[in-house]
Amino acid sequence: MSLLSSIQSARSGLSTSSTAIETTAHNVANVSTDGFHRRRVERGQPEQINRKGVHVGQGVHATRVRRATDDLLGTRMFEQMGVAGKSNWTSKSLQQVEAAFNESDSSGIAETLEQLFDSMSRATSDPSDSGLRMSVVRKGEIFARAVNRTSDSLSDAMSDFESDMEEMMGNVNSIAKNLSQVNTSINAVGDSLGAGDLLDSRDRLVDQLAREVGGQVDYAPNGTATVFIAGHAIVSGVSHREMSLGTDANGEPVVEMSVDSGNVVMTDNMMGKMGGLVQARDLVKGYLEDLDTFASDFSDAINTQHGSGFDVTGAGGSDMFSYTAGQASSTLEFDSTLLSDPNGLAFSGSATGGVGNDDNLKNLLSLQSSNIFNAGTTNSGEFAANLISEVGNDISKFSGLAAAEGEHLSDLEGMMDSLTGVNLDQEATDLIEFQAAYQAAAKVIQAANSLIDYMIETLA
Amino acid sequence: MSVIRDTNSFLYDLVRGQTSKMATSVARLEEQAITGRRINRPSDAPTEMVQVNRLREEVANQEVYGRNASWAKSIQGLADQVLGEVTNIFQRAGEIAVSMSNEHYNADDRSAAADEVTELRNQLVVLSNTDLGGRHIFAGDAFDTSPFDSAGTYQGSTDIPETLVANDQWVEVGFDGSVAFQGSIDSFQVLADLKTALETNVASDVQGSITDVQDAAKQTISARQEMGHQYAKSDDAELLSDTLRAEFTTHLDSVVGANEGEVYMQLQQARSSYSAALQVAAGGLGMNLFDHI
Repeated sequence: MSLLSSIQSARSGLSTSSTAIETTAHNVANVSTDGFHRRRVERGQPEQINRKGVHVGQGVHATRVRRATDDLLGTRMFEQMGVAGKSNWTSKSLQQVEAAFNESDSSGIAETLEQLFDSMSRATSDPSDSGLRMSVVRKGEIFARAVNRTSDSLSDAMSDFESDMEEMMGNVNSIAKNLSQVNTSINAVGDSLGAGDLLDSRDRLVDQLAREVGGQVDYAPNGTATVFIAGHAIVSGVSHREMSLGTDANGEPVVEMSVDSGNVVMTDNMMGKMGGLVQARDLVKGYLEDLDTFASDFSDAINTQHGSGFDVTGAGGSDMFSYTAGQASSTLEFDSTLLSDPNGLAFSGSATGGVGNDDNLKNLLSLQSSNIFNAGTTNSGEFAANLISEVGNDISKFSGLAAAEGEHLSDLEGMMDSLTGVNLDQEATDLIEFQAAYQAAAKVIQAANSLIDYMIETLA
Repeated sequence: MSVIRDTNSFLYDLVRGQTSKMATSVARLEEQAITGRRINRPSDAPTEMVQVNRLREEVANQEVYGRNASWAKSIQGLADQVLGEVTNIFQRAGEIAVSMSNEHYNADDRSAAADEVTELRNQLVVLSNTDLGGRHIFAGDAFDTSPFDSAGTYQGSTDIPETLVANDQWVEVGFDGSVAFQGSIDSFQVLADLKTALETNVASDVQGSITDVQDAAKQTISARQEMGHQYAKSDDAELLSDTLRAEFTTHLDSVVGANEGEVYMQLQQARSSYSAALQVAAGGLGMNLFDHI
């Protein structure tokens, strides 16, 4: 090997070490960048040359800057993001409606229902007492308002969920569009030294999409990502599809994807935040339907019984409660005439009975323990308590599920991070190594240069 | 053996996640310590919510039962007192009848006795129309009107008002005067007949009324016994409601309430752990090899 070729070899070492230090700097600079995958310089040796039968090395060169990743793990992780996101958002969303069922402040439906029956029970001591009658109508009004308030809270929550879903659509479409554009850039650049940042961008967008709507990701050999939801590609290579929020024949919101043949309904396939909102909305809708059933069945039973009694004037009992069919809980109202004149309460069982006749009051009171719900298996107190318990159970269930799915996601993210994240200690040792290599190569150049200088001076 | 490579972002995420969980745990324990309740929302103990609601219902029911029983006792107590006085009236009427049936007494004596019996009858009318705050206790469920007129004619109701003092247990809070005073014998008529016998000054007629007076007295005593029975039921119910309310309240507290000592210890432990985690995070996460080269 000649001295000049030694300088060339050492120069390749300088260049490669410089690239490695530059890559380390890039890694260190991105230590806190979300979605950044650390880079490593891969080195190779140029082909040896045969100099008079002796094979001489040509130094080193950087073959590529490899971006640490694991596509299979990434696929699992993105899928889990959708699953965990759905549970998490279901839990978070349901917690918003829990306050509507809080019975600790005596204003919940179970508590006010109990107060209504207590006031009736108290009225048995003197059915003619105007104070006790007034107490019954006031408790009836308070109960109706508690049902209204709970119903309104549930309806408001459903509206909020739908608004969130509507707002999300713009974001989802924007992410899908950006991902298709990044795919376009990856196609153009290819798997070269410069593609690493594009792949980071790609994975960040896939991550966002998975957290919003879930799905499965598939990576092409050239690095582009295709994201599927229920078998339909929302992003495929350089193209993407729009999602929107529509309504079905019953006016219920549905999530749709625009495909060539029209719109495909994907509501039931939604994962991530969208899936959580859809699921929470369905559950809240169920609570509201149960509350409507409760309000209408209870109102009907009370009205029927009250109608068979007689007020203080001997007139037949009027309806105590009224409601609009199909929206009983939100429209349940205590009769305003009875509110202004509690003497209209039909406690008596006879038109000619004495003022203390409470035969019908007893029958009204017996409704507390009558199984008038769920095909004659549940009384009003149990129905209300079961509904509250159901809400608590769902929140508890999805909180637990969110925690478990979140742990699983954390494990996968930890595994991915272990492969792709930046460890400053490792970067520091790499830096020391590359710095030493750089300094050694410089020394070689310096030594070769000294020898050449010596030789020139000697020969001069 | 796989080796997990801890990256800086992993450590930061770990600290963020763990301290967030610890902060939530501390907040929950603080809520329990402040409210004194272990269950503050349905999701805290969903499976126990049905039991909690049932216990609350029971506590509220027992409060009403107790008040109803107390109210019933006030009416029954007054009725007992009234019937006691009615018993005295018939005892006095019996004494008059026995003594005036003796041939030794003359017309003037019997006339004076007749005046006393008239007064006793007037007292009986007043007593039978006794009311508590305008509520006539011997008028059945028509207690807004006086049950007896001056002639002793019953104008009340034969339906007896009741109030709920326990689950499916009712006690009477008013009485049918036609039974108490005119059941087997008309108490008013007995005194009227005695008065007539005294006025006519026929000793045998006076003697003949003794049995009726005794029957009227027995009728009153019998009504009073029934009253005592109702009072005892109310008293038992009141006692039971007090006991059950205390028991249900205790049970409810045991289900809903937080064990203050335990919560305090857990809170101290959680705060210590949280504080330690923050200190470790603040001190340890800043360390790396770059500080030493």
